[in-house]
Amino acid sequence: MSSKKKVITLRSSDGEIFEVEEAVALEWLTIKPLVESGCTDAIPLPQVTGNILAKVIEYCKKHIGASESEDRKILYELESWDADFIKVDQGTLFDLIRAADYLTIKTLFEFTCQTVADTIKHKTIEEVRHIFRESNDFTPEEEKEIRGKSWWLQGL
Amino acid sequence: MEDLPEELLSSILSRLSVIDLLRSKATCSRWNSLISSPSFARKHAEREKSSWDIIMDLFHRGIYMVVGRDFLLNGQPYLNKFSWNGKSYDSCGYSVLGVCNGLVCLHLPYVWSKVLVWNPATREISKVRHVFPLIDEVSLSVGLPLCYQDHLGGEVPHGCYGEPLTGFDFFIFGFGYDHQSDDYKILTMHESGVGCLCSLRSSLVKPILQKDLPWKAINLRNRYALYLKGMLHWSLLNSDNSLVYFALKDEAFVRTQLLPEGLTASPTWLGLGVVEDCLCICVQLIDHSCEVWIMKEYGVRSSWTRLLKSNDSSFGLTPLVGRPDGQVLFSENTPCFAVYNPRECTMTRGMTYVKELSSIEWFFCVPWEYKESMISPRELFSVKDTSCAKQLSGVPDQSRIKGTSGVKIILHPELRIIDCDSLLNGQLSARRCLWMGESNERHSVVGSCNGLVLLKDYHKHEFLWLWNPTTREVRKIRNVGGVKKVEEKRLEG
Repeated sequence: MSSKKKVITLRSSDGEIFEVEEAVALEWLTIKPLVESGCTDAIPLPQVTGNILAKVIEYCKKHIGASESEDRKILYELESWDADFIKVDQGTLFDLIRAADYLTIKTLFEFTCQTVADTIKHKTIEEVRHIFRESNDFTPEEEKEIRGKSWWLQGL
Repeated sequence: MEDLPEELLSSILSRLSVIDLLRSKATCSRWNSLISSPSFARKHAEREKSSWDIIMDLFHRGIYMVVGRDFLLNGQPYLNKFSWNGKSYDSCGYSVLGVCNGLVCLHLPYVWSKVLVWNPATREISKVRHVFPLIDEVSLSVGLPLCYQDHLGGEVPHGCYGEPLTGFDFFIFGFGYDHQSDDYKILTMHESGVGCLCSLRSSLVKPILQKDLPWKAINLRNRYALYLKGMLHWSLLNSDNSLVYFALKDEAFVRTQLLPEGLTASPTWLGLGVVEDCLCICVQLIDHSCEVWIMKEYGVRSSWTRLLKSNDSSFGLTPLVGRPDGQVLFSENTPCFAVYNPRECTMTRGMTYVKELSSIEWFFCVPWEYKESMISPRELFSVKDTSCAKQLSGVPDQSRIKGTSGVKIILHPELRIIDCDSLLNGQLSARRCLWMGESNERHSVVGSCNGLVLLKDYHKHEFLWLWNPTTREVRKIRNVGGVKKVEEKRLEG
């Protein structure tokens, strides 16, 4: 058996070329069939930009094999690495969710969605609107009705 | 977040708790409509993991929520009495019939027509109509009402209508979710083997007859069925290690030898529960030893694994809920809880929480595992496609009328019209059609087309009636030869 690891070439939407190990690419269910068919050309990923693809590859490289580890020390290190990894601005975070969804990377999708969900927890509506830059498009009557339905909630 | 597609937004929001979701509804109209949709509630309920919360029904003392995480922190459970609309709950007298997907089904014992479906997390509540047609409230007898005998095609033995209720009669109940038809169903069975199944989505009640099961052998503490994977389960206290379950999909009872083969001696106590989506039993054998078994793969008898065998006389444990780390919470026969710790294979017992409760009261109180959800009891009556209409039209003597205002269903024998638009708005409005100002018992539906209904008269066979329920116009058609003499009459509103 050859000890040299097989490398897959990927091309981002802005034409940047990336090389990843086959084992990493096999975790991406969207391109898995292409990888398995032994495709040697650069796989085009028209929905992912170069800087996001770099982040995605960084995450997957770190996580491959490590997530299943039983060693508590490794898991703890991985957790703190994740916390640093996800310290990005809102736009990048949403881009990562979109990329993880497009490429069907389950672990990254779970992690990024949970990160966004955690920012909503225990926030008032005004704070949530501010974070997500959503504007209040209710009429005063509608808003009163919605709030009235859950009159017993705190922080509404 | 406007540029994030709806699907991804719902993936994010489905990770929030019910409280956070109710609050987030007020963010903007897009969030509100997404969070309020039944499909989102289903997605959220599938994600929601067990939280160790338990609903305790202490009958006349009321219904309590036991917040499970307190067990883990300090072994001191925190009790939270339920209330709705600010009123204290216990005055209502309702008791829990079943808990499924965050919905609590409540009934008023011995007042058979009063059934509620309640979501304690969103505080929504909705009434269920016509649940127990097997109880004739006037004569207080049990049986199938005559009108259902037609549907059964004569299968109902004569004797099963009108067996008197003594007040000590034994009923078993079940409440569960049928994935296939996306419907919640309530089952009631009398010890005589007569019962009925009520579908919440269609409001249809189906008679169930099952005379050949040992109803009286059903464990008294298990008379409210245990719900798991679309099945309602009851344990039997007899020697052949069998269980009875009711498949909500097939609407049929099955008795099967499903208990572990390694269990040789017949148990004097059997507690049935669900732990991490697996069936779990706790048995007490004649020699006072206690065993806890878990069925790793549902329906596979060889997959039973023994968690614990103990020789102390720990009588009467009922498995309640498990956590991914392997801890299992039990209720004891005295007013206490017990926690099984998988790492040391030990059982911590005697966590009390209601000191003033006597053991007798405790024996009859029923603990339920509870996971909060966004599923709205009001939505249960809604029709997202025509599946409900199809179901309804499958029953004899019904026709659907297609009019400009959407699909309507005519229900015979009372000539009620169900407006599917109102179903979409979350209400079931079945309107009784007045015929010349009074209710119609003389006619039955022959067919319908383009908003017109053709009716025939029970007594006068020489006439047919063409009726437009919307404009309330009616035409009498003479049913002889090719000649039709037509009378027109405008009916008063």
